[in-house]
Amino acid sequence: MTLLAATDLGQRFGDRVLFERLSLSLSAGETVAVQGPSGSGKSTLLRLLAGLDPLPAGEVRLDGRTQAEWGLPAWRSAVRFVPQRVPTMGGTPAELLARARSLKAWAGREVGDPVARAEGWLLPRATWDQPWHELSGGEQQRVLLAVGLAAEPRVLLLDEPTSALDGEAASAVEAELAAWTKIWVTHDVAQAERVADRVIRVGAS
Amino acid sequence: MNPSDVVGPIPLSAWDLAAAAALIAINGALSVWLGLGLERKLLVASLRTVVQLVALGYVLGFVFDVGQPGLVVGICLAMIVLAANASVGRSSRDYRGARPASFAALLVSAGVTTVVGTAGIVGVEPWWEPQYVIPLLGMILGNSLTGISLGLDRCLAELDEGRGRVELLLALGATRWEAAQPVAREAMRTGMIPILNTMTVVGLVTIPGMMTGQILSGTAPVEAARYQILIMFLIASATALGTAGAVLLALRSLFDDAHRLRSDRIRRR
Repeated sequence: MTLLAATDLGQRFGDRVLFERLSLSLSAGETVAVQGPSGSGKSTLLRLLAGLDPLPAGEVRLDGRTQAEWGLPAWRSAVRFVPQRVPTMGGTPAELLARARSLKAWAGREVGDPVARAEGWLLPRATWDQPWHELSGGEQQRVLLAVGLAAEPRVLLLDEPTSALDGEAASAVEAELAAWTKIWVTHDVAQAERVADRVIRVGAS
Repeated sequence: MNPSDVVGPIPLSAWDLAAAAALIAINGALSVWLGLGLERKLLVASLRTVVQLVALGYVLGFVFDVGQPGLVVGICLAMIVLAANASVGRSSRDYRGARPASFAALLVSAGVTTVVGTAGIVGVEPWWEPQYVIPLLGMILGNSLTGISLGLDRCLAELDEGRGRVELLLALGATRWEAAQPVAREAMRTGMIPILNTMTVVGLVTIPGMMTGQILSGTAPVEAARYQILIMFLIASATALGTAGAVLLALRSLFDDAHRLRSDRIRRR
C-alpha cells in the first residue's frame, strides 16, 4: 500500500537543472536512500517533499491526497523534514520542544517522550536545558531528530541525520529508525545499503 | 517691561538669523582647520534648512489663508507618501510592495490618530483646521516612520538571516503565523524602542521641541506640558499601530498561502 507518492518532480535554479521527472513511491515501513554528489539537489528534493518550497512541476501525495488537500501545516507534521543542522538561534532545546508542543498541528497527537528517546542515543537529559550554542554538532543533531520524531509523523525526510554522530550513537539512531517509513539522504554508500530497501540517485546522471 | 507681561513671541529679523548662521560658520572654520572635510556638507545642510523651512513657512501660511479642506487633505496625503518612502528608503532590504504597504500602515495609523487628536480630543472646529492638523500629523509621521523603518528592517533581517529558524518551525507543522510570531515580536520591539526611550526621559533629559516652541511663544508651561503629553500619547499609539501594520503586511507578503516562507521575495540592497 503506497503511503507517499511523488510524481514527475523537478527543480532548477536558473538554467541549472537539478533533477526533472523524478518519481518515487514509498510504502509503509519502507526506506528509500537518496544519494548524489554535493549540490546535486538531495536536500532540495526533501524540501519539495516537505512542502517548504513551491513545486515547480509534478505533485506529491500522502494517502492519495496532495499537499494542498492536506493543508501544509498538517502535511508537514505528517511528512516530517529533519534538517541536517540546527540554525543559529537563541534558547535551549527544551524551549524548542515546548514551542513545538504548542503548535496547533500537534494538538491531539501523542508527543511521546523525545528526551527519553534521545537518551537512548546517548544524549544526556541535561543537554536539553543547555543553550544551543554550547551543544556540539552531534548533540544538536540528536535533539533535532528526537523533536522530529515526536507527535506521530507518518513519513520522515532525513537529511544526513547521523553526519555528526560517532559510531556508537549513529548505530543507536539507525536501530531506532529501522521501523520508520522514511527517505534518507546520505552520502555514505555503506549506510545507504545498510538502512535502505532502495536507493535512488539524484544529479550527475 | 515686566517679564510676566510677555505673552507673544519676539519676532526674529533676518539679522538675527544671520547671527545664528555665524555660529554655523564657526563649525565650518573648525572643519577646515582640522581637515574634517565636513564644510561642504555643513554648507549644503544649512542652505537646505533655510530653503526648506522658509518654503514651509510660506506654504503653511498659504494653506491657512486658503482654508480649503481638499487642499489640507491633499497636503496630508503628500506628507504620508513622503514619510512612506522615507520609511523604506534606508533599510538594507526591502520587498515588492513595501512602499504601498508602508503608505497604507501610515495612512491608517497616523491618519486615525491625528483625527482623533484634533477633532476628537482637542475639539478643533472644523476638523481639518490646518493650523492643528498639519503640524500634528507631521510630528506623528516623523516618529512613526522611524518605528516602521526600524521594525521593517528587523523583520526582513530576521526572515532573511533567520530563515532556518522560521523554516524549522514550519517543518514541524507550524502555521505561517505560528512561525512568524517570534519575528513579529522582535520587529515590534525594535520599532518601539525610540519612542519608549523618548517617553522615558521626556522632561528629565529633554524638553520636547513642541513644548519649547509653545513656551517661547508665550504659553504657560503647565498648559504646554498638557499639550506635550497629548502629543506623546498620540505619537506612541500611532507608532505602535503603524509599526504593527507595516510588519504584519510584510509578513503577509513574505509568506504565501501554503505557509511557505518566500525569502526569494526579499530584495537586498
